[in-house]
Amino acid sequence: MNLPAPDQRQALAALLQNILSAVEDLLLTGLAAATEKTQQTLAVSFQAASRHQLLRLGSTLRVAIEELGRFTRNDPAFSRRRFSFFLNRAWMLASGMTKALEQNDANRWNRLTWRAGGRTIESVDVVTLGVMKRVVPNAFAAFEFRLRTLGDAGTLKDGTSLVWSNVFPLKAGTDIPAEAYLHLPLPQKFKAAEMLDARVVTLGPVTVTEDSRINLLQDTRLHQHPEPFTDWQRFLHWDKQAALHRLESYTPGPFDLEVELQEEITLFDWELGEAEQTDRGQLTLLPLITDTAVCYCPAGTSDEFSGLRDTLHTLRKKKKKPPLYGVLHYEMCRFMFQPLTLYGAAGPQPLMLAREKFSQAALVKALNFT
Amino acid sequence: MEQELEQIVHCLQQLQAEFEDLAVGGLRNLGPEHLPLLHSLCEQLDAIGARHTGSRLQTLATAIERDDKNAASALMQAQAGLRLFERILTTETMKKNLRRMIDLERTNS
Repeated sequence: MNLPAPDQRQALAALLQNILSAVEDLLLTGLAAATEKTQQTLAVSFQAASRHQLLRLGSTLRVAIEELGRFTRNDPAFSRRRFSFFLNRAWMLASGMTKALEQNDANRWNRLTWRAGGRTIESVDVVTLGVMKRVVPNAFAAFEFRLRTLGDAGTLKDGTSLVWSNVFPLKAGTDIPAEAYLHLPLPQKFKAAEMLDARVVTLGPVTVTEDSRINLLQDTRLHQHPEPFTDWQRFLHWDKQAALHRLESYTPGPFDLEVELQEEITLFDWELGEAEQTDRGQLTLLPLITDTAVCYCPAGTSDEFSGLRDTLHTLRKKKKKPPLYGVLHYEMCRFMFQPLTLYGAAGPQPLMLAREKFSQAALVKALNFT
Repeated sequence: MEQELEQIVHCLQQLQAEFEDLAVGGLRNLGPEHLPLLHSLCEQLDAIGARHTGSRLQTLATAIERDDKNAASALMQAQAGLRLFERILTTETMKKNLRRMIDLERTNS
């Protein structure tokens, strides 16, 4: 992406200025006194940013606006941290993009509006190692599948780590577990749940972005292999040398999200320490202690994490604990670890997906958005 | 060293919470009553060597004292400075931790 065409620059400069003014007004008055005009400016700016394909700015504004909405509705899910972080990020992006336009600085513009490009892979065999779930009630349920390739596929080498995201809008007032949405047929004529059967699946054609995200195309199809996959051990480790190498070649910047520098790791011979409350009681951290490290597991205080908390507490009493696979990131000088799957004798056991039954009829009803 | 790092992280967490309170409550409403804490955090940041972040915090405190509308952009810049400092400190600390773990595993094997 180069600098915008001259005939678009004036409109973009005005849009960015509106965002800066709205954010600054909000900061001066506070959320309780936020005017309707300020809220409207942010909402309109989000739409305009998306129209101009400024997706990074648009998605940042979207999260800030969602949090503002939660505050206005007295929603207990409102997070000061999330609001403050995304508002700051929106301001920083708008401010940097304004300077890039003023100074004709194409490099800066490109850095701030960067989107990962993708390449097409005709067909790839993958297994799912774990799934991360995030639910925002009345808004969306997001699932992030952590995949590994089996065998080379195009430019992808055997054992490459890939991420596939699946987001479902949630209708207000429905009472269906988020996991039920994984059983809905996708436009590609398969269900996301078919990726959870501990079997190899062949996907293709797909695009794979530079940051290893897999995107489905309209004609992507899934073929599930009949035999169960059992060779999980080859993927279960914590490659500290590779993690160190990635850290050494990383240059921190103010736009970075902590989770952008993630490692997929497995903990062996771990013990569960005493829970810590943090982020003003909104977050429970469970220390997972190994002989060389302490990793802190964010286990929320909400129902969303209850299954994870219960499983870890049940395992506390066991002498020999099964390997724990998940994703690790670095935050406030700590290892933060989100466990996704237990690899016991019976094979993978997802930790973030509830096993409760749901009614197909209720799911169909929930899909009726009109 | 461990204790010193804990103190630094505590100071950064306090400052982050302070910025969150100001962003939610509003600089004009909450700013003046938060000034003593902001000044104290400035001193702590100077003491731990985070002078750049400290100087941005000082700019914010001065703007609040003057009821200057630039306090909003000063808050945004101070917050970005804090974030960058935390990222640098965290990556350096984690590099040390990973090196120590690799050495320990080599010794044990």
